Amino acid sequence: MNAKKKMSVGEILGNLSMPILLLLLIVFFSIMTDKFFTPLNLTNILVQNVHVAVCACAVMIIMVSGGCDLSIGYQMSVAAVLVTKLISVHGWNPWLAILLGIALCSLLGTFNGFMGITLKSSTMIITLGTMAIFQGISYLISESKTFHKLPKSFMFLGQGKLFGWLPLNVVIMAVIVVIVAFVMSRTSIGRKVYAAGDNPEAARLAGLNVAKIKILSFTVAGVLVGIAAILLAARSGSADSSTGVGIEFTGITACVLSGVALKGGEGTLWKVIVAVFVLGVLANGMQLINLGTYPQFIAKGTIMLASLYLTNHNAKGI
Amino acid sequence: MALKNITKEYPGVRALDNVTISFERGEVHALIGENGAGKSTFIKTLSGAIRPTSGTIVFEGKEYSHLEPRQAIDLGIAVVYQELIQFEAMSVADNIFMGVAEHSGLVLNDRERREKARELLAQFDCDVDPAALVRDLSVANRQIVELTKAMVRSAKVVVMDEPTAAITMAEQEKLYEVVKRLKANGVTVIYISHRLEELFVICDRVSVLRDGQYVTTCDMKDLTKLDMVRLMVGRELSSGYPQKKPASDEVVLDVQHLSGNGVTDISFQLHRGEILGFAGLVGSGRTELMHVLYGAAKKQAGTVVLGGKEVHFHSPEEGLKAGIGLIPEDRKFQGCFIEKPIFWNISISALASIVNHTVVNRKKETALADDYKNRLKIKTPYLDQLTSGLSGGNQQKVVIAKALAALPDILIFDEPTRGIDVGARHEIYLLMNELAEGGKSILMVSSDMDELLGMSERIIVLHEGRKAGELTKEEFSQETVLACASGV
Amino acid sequence: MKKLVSLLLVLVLALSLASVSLAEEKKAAFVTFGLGGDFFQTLADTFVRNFTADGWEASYADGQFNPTKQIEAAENYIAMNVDVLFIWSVAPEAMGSVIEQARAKGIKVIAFVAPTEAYDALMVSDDAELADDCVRLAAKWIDEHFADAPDHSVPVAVFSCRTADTGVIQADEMLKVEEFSAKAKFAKEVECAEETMTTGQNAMENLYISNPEIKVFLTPHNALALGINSYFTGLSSPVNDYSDMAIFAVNGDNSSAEYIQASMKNESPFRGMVLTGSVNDTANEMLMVANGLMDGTLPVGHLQKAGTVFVYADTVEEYLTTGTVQSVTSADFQK
Repeated sequence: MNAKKKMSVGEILGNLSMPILLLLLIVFFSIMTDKFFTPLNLTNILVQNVHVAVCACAVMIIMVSGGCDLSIGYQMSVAAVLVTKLISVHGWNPWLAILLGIALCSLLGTFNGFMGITLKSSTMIITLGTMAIFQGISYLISESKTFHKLPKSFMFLGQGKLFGWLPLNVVIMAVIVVIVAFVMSRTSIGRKVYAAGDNPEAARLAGLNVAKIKILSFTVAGVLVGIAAILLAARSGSADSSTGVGIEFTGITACVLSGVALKGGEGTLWKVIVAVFVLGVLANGMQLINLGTYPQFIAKGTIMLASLYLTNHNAKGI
Repeated sequence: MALKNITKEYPGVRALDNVTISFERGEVHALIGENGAGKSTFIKTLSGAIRPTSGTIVFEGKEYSHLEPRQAIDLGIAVVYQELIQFEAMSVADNIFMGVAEHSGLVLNDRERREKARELLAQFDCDVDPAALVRDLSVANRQIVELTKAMVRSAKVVVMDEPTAAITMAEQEKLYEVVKRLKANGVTVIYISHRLEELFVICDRVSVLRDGQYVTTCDMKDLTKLDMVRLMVGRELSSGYPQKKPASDEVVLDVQHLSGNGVTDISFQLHRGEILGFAGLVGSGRTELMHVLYGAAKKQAGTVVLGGKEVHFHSPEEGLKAGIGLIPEDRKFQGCFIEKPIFWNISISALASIVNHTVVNRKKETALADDYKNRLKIKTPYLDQLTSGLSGGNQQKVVIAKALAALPDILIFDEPTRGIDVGARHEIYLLMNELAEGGKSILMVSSDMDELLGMSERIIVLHEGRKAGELTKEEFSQETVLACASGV
Repeated sequence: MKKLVSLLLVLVLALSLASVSLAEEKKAAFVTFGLGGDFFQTLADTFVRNFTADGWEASYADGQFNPTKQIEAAENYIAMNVDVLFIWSVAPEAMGSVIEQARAKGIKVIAFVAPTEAYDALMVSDDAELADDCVRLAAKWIDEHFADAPDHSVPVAVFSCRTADTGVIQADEMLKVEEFSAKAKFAKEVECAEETMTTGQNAMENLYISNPEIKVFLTPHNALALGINSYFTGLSSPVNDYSDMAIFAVNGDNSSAEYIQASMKNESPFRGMVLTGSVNDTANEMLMVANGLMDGTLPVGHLQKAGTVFVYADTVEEYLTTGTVQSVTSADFQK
């Protein structure tokens, strides 16, 4: 084996498959309609995907640690209805309610992680079960109602603009993404998460506390999910038990498209975020060019297959 | 340090039975025994990978009923496992430093880590890029990474489980140097190996395990190889390699100017009943050549004439149908379906013979497996035992059975006895001779010089993808082979 | 022998007493469509309340939006020997045999909303009719508010979700807005992948980019309507004056009604919605049909059409206080 491994053109392309795809889509839609590449529309795309990006961070952390969480959507639902109900119906201080919502979400996440370790079952199966539990909790709290009379201070989080043009929630998303990316790639904690997912036995023998690492991953993910829920509720100005439901599939899609391994131990956050925006640009652009619902589904599926091919074409095994 | 009265029981099997061995500081202590004797289980108890059912571990005066991996590491016990338990998708540097306390706090300085890793690897003359992913490395280099891990942790005790099984002769020399250096630094080395010759070179004492029980500990200088074998096996074993009748003149395989998959312009002939050995350094292209012959890799140029007819294989399926069988280099991942039972493994390449219109006939399948189990003497109580539960030697036999079940004329053995104990090895050699004398022809790739010299009728040496030499029995000698392999 | 006979007599007496007391209570059961939503849950609870007040023993089962679960629930009720069974089928074709079973036992089966092949009575709300009523409500506002505009000049957008059966029918009706209103012009249909608030809000954001001139929105889905509303009432909304704007939806909930109220003070563009009768109205209709079948005043095969409730500026107070609107009916809107 010699010196530094030179990357072949194919490998570099595989690495950059997501940004390239994003660029292609942007160019395509800009050509198809002049309404696409406008400041307003581009800001919209960012704003529409803030909660998706934050959730994708959570999904990525869990997947890298070797787990899978299908209950994220209902975690968001629980946090959203709890926070909005406390503020609008019970008159709580918004910050207190937000703190409680995030804390509850992290608890739900920890519960998932703990179940994963205790029941020794695949976390995908376990979260199928906890998903139903959280759904029940959400409906218990919301009683099927929508909560909407929210104060401006709360809505500012999701709709406010700094300096008149920079959406606050986009800034919050960017900060979160940078922090998570940094921790995962450049700190020993992040490294340990990759290790636990790549080969739990090797990690155990290297002296790592694998159980702790996995549970902690779920906890941190819970915090992120709680934040995402609040950002989404603030943007809509209201929330009900359907808020956030289904987000886990978008998150998992973005992760898988960008090369995060299902079995754990692999994945790069910035690629995941790019994948989130690939999906977001696609959804936005398809509406602007008036593509009907059914063709939209087909288009989305085709793009997904294409990006899978590009991402994994040069990888030795998935 | 000592391990006293260690017993480890698994359901149905007692892997270790009241074993007591003591180790002295700064000695190189060999641990030998047949496969399944309990050596791996023993050292896993020491490293904390397994908890003994009963017994105590005494380290530097302190007693422990069992150790956790973290404890063992903190105490200074480092183990280089045979199975290379590593983080496949992470870099070499990350693998080396995982679990080692960071000085610089939470944030990692990747550049520094890579530099340090580079230095450590250089001690073994290894120039692998520390940023490379472990799964892209060769087995030999992965083993060096394991050794480097042990170095990093300033171990007081280093356990090596079959360290030389997959590395070349040159690298073996380097390893012996490392062991000697460790000893000079007062580190205790526990060395497990099947290659008895090398134990004489580096070890001070040797302990013998047989069937989970402790036999004895002796000074190396008081023993001969024969003594060791006798202690391990508990019975007399004829030394050397079994003799066989010479091959006929009939050419069954004629390869001319074959290129592809990294090898260039290879020509040779294989005769019926012959065992043709292939020697060369790691990376010389022997396995690659075999894959082309079998159809598992693309041929770019040249001709292959099999039984008088020219053939072009586009897939292993075609190779198999034409009568070539492969026993791959890595029996765990390329040879066996490790999580499947024995009978499943044996029948998988020969499904045609046991099905009635695509429905598998259970009776035929069991009969087939039974037949091979007896012929190859595979040690297992049940045929539906998972292959993962077998010892290395028996796993290899399953792989051989799988290849044989397809009734090939030509068999390719790639490292047939790597990691297999003396007793099982002998059985495999006898088997190979039996097959050859029965009219089959064998291509044997091996990194074990003795094995090559002892079993082959002719040896072809490869160097960097090309044929560097062809030796007949009269020309056989270690020096000649090594010279050709090194491109001299 | 004597002891045995007297024991038997006591038993028979006890049993007949029990069956008599049991027979006094009429039992009504309701297999719901599902219970995930304000409307569904309130309907089920009101059903129980109203029937119990009338002297029935009433209960409901969660259909969980799943035909198999509904069949199971129906079978349980058959085993419990209810007198009247209401079923709101998720998949009407699948209920054939269990309905046969029930009717064979003398249980009166009332198909609710979704028509099954066989039934003793059918209570429907015509989906298309309902959508038409929504468009009529919208037309009234458009034609009054834009009375000076040239004919067919006011652009209207329809937000649809074509993955749900009723949604498709209703959206198609809404596309015909120009037939109901002289001033309206059908501009665009916005197809949404899901009927959720977030999707509606996103779609409205995107629509505003391409067609900022569209001010009137029709949709069969309340969630989409709330999403559109969120966009315009949010902090970063491009408009603050909603006087030229309107959203009309079908089957909204209480929060929709509150927004309609706010629209009168120009605080929201959500101007109106139509419902298939208030929940209380519906429950009372169910009671009436049940009683009618039991005493024979209603024939087998009776068809009960639900009335539409119109909630908009003139009636929203009435709706919020009484839970229904009696003052205005679809007759008032027929041209």
